[in-house]
Amino acid sequence: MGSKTNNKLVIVILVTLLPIIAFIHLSSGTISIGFSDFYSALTNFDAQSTNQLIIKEFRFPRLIMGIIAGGGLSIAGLLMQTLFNNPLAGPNILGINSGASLFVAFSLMSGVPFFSSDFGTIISALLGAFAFGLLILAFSMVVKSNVSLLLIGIMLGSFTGAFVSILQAVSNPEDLKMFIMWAMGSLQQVEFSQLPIIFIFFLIGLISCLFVVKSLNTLVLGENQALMLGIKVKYIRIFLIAITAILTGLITAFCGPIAFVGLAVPNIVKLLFKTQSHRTLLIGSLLVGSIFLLICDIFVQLVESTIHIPINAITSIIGAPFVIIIVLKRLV
Amino acid sequence: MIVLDKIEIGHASVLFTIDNLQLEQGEMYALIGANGSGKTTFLQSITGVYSPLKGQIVIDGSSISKFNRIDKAKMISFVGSTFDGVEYLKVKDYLALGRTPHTNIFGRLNATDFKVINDTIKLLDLESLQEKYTKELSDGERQLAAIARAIIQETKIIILDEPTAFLDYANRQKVMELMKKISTELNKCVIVSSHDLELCLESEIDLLVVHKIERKLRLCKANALTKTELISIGF
Amino acid sequence: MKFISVLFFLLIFIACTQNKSKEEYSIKNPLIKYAKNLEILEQKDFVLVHLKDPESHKIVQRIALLKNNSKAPTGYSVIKTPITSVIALSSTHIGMLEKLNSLPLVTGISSHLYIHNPQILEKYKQGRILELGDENAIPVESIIASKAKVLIYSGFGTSFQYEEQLLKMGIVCIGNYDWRENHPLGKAEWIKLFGYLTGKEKEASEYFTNVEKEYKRLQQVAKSSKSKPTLFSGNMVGDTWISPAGESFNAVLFTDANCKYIYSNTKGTGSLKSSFEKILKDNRSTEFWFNPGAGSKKELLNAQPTLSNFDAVLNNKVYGYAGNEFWERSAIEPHHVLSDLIHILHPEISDKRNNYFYKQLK
Repeated sequence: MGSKTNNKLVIVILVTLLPIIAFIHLSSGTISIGFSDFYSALTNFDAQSTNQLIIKEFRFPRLIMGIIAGGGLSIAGLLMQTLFNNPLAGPNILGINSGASLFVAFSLMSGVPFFSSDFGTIISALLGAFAFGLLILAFSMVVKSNVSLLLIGIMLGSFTGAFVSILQAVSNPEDLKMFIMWAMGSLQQVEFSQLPIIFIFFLIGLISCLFVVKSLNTLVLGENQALMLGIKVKYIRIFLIAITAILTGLITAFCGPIAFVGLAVPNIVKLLFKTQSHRTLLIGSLLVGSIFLLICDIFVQLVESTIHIPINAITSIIGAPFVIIIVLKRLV
Repeated sequence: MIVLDKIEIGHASVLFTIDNLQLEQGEMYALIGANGSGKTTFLQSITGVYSPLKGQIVIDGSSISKFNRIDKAKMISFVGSTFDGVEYLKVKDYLALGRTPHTNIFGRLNATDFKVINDTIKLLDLESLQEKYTKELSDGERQLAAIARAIIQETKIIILDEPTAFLDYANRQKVMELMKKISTELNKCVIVSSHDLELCLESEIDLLVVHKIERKLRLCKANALTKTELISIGF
Repeated sequence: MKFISVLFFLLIFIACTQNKSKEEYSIKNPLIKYAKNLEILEQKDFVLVHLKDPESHKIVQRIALLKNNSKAPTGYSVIKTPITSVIALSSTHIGMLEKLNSLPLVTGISSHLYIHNPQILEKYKQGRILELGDENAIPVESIIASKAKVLIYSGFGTSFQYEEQLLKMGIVCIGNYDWRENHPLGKAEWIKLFGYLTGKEKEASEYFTNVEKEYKRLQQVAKSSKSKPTLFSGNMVGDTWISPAGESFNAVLFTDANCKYIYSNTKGTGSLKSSFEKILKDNRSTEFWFNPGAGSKKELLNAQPTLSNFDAVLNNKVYGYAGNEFWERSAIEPHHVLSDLIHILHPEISDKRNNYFYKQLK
């Protein structure tokens, strides 16, 4: 029983750490803002105060998006790793987010007003992510090797990457906002007014996770054993892809690609908790993922006044060596 | 319990037929036959992975193809020839997975679930392994854990596909003895496939033999046949 | 051994003579007054053009313009003038050639999407103009096939990588760094280069003198205004706000129009990168906003709803220019840009009714 209390302690530590990191994140930025402004922004918001306006319009949406993107991608990564029984799986490497980018690119360029609204963008991102998720699932039935599946995912990524750049070339050259988002990832493109819809979709993704905990726990024994334990593996697989699509699509639509979070964080969480209880792993991924991405973004903000580093660069710098370590550990 | 009446087993072509057999609770059967004679296919037909080419496998009065997934999981549990263990999966968490068909959608364990788990742990003497990770166990311990998980699933039928294939002699015997004890004490219908003829004879259990010439599955009572006779019809 | 030492001395000799010929002509010349990256020297038989690196101000390119068959000095790329055709990759080049009535010479452009001039567009439609795409990835072979002798690029990339290749094929590439000049008149002065190339140096010089005169006059007019409104400029590119640095061409224009540019005290001739929160902090109550990079207020607010908190947006004091026409003509018509600024910033002293380039965002 010792380890269970240990794990509870780790969760308590993470839960206390998150608001601390969140506050550091809120207070970092080009402009230094005093504590009193944060206090009054919360209690008695005054749009006339520029500092309070900055908190509301920039810092707060960026914080929330950091938490949602970090937590959401990590959970999506965990789902993919268990589904494909592969510690190197993740929404990014499997090409699921490129499906979202591609569909968003198409829908924005279609010129249909519905598709350029927030809701339309989310929907096309979800559809794209879901379509590519199903594609990867179909491939996974044919190719049995884990590495081959990852390679197919990477190929899907390059393929759509090329397609998106062609779309960019033929579209309005001044639409740099989209370009930056697609190419480098950013937590800063979200506006305060968009937060409710983002939050609702995120919540749908999170709540759906509650219903797959049991299936995830049995899936670690392999598909056959899960079947024999009464799990409807066929439906569960599609349901898992759908949840991943909601989380990944939502985040890709608003932040662009953020690499390696979905891959690295679930592995860190498993090392930290040493369990296969997916209830713990999901909570752990949500917390560690948010904290991880916020720390990365704090670093981005620290150097922001001198150089602008896209968040994707930071997560890749930390994430890529991590993947190499996992691969080496498995080979040795 | 399990009624097998005029059944043809196979995938594309018929591997063997069953005229009329009845397998009972409280009994243990060893399924023996040459490699490729269709043992695994037969087991998969009972678990419902494949349907027989002809006829219906009837369990407790209804055809296996009519069972839904949960009911089937409450009726039949399955132990494979190896369980490699899963990283970070503790034995007690692994055992708890046996309750999967009985728990609600969120997989919460209630008092009954815990009682079944603890009773089984006691029955199989697994107390010392509980807190270990499944990856840390020896082959014998892991197979024991897999059997415990099947018992915890509380099914009338337990099917073991070559459960002793990767074990040393002492552990093989132990597994067979254990399964025999379980079949009688817990009143279960246990079917073990094996190509280890001697082990099956020693264990003094009923044998299901795939007759190599007739291509028929025959039930031979324990001690009814000698080893030489068995080899002549089965191998 | 002997052969190698002879070769060695020969090389040193060549190197020395080359150096000598270069230094000989590097004298200060009165032909160019404002442009910092361009030198033009009139000699007896030819005109020498020195192009300088906008960063280091060192000469990076030497071109000799020959009117007859006289011998060019060593170390110079040779262009026979007047040229009969030219590939002009930037829209400012089109504007300058237009002023000299030399548009028929243009045989290649980067993209018709960036062109305003109807004459060029018509020629493009008729298929009589090569479209070469981005200057960092131009199809070299189609340039060679086009038999053009002169190519003018703007050097937006790090360097124009095809220069040496094309020179071997007898095509001289000219880096037109007018856009890196930090005085508006310095930009316009590059018309003189086009003048010498097309054999219309007199017209070019005359045009420039008139522009200079008008610009100076308007500067005085602006000074006469008692008000000095505040102004900021630029827009978001991805996650950063780009605004002109304090010593840049735009900042000079703003100052000459007698207004207080918020970042006029910053160093540098290029652009400033700042976070949006800094821009909001510094400019919430700034009176005017120029060059927002959008065509309408709606477009602006769609991209960034927070902009509605800026006083300039609330009071409808946001001014932008119409894309291609501005790029084509603003460099060569700095007096018109200045007069627009005065008209907007000091309406009480402006005598004109309409702007040339700028319009209010609605």
